[in-house]
Amino acid sequence: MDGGVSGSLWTRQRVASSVDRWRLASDLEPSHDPEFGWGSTLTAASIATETREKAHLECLWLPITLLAPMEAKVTSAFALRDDDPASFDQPAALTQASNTNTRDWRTHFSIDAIRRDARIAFRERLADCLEALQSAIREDDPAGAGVSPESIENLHAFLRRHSRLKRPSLTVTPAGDLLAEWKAGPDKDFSVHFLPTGMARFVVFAPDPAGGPKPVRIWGISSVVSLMRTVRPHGIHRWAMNEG
Amino acid sequence: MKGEHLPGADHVARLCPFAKLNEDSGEPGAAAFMLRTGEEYLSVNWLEYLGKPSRGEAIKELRLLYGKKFRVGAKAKIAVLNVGDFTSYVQSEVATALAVLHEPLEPNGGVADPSHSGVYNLPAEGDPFAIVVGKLLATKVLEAVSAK
Repeated sequence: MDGGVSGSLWTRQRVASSVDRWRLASDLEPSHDPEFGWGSTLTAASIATETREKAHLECLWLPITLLAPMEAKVTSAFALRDDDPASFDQPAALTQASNTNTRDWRTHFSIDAIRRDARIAFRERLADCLEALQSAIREDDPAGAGVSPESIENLHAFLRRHSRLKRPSLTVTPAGDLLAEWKAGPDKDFSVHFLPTGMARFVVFAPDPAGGPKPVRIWGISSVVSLMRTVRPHGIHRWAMNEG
Repeated sequence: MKGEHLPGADHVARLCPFAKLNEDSGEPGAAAFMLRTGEEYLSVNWLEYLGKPSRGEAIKELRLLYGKKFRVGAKAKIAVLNVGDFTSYVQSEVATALAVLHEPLEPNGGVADPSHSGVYNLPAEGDPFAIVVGKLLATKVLEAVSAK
């Protein structure tokens, strides 16, 4: 039911797959989670399994601050009746708009989850950066895929797991995934491409252990869970993490 | 001429959207030099081919061209690199021989792009080595100016 999303954030929140109907944002009541506070879940999982053809959409936890803009999106893209099966016969353009909006919503929710996560000391600045990246990509390509929400969720899971890491610099790959970079010099460089699958491509530039003039360059692929253990021999923790 | 190797002394420009710029420095990051899925080469423009008296004039012309071809964001930048500099650097650091070839684009119902060129032999999109080469190229940017 987690729709390929790694980490616990999405799966721990409520998903009611049996609710086989469209919901408008205005129909929804905000809910409160003891850990995450007022929140929301737009589940890609809800576009899965038997409801895939219907592009089934559930919005269960709408953050109060997002209600207004989301309601506008819902109205424009998903102005369909709950109880009218014929309304699922959407024109292709509407389907495309629906997919884009669904993805954008999930991206916003993923960013919002970071913004509310007290385990991440730099959560506000990180969330602001992610919003700016998404906004810039939308400006360049309004119909494009935007920043991958799954990639954001992977970054979030990684930062929750390693809360002493300093704030990374973020860019977006051509595929829409996040490329996070921790850098303290030409031979102290750790970059991670957070894939949507729970895996990560990584690159480490580290000082040559034999004292040579050029940095050692290592690259590979790892699960997000094992990543820090994989790169630890290269001393990342000595400069990419805060004291403590 | 299509397929011609660009001289090492010449320069290329690359349009870098905001999302591919380093957040702190504003300079292009590795992501600006990574291929999309299925791309054969990295698109650049050959500055000297434009025949302008200065690099500034050539960049002005590119701004006009990009404005016709793409939606250029307000914070996008144009990165300038020297062909000989970045190809020899990548060769010496990671033993990868990049090639920069002239790939002029005909209008084909759109906008002609006669200075269009391609950087070949970059690692494919799914290869982590693409990040390494992207980082090396990013360090060789001579200047990054506004694309608007």
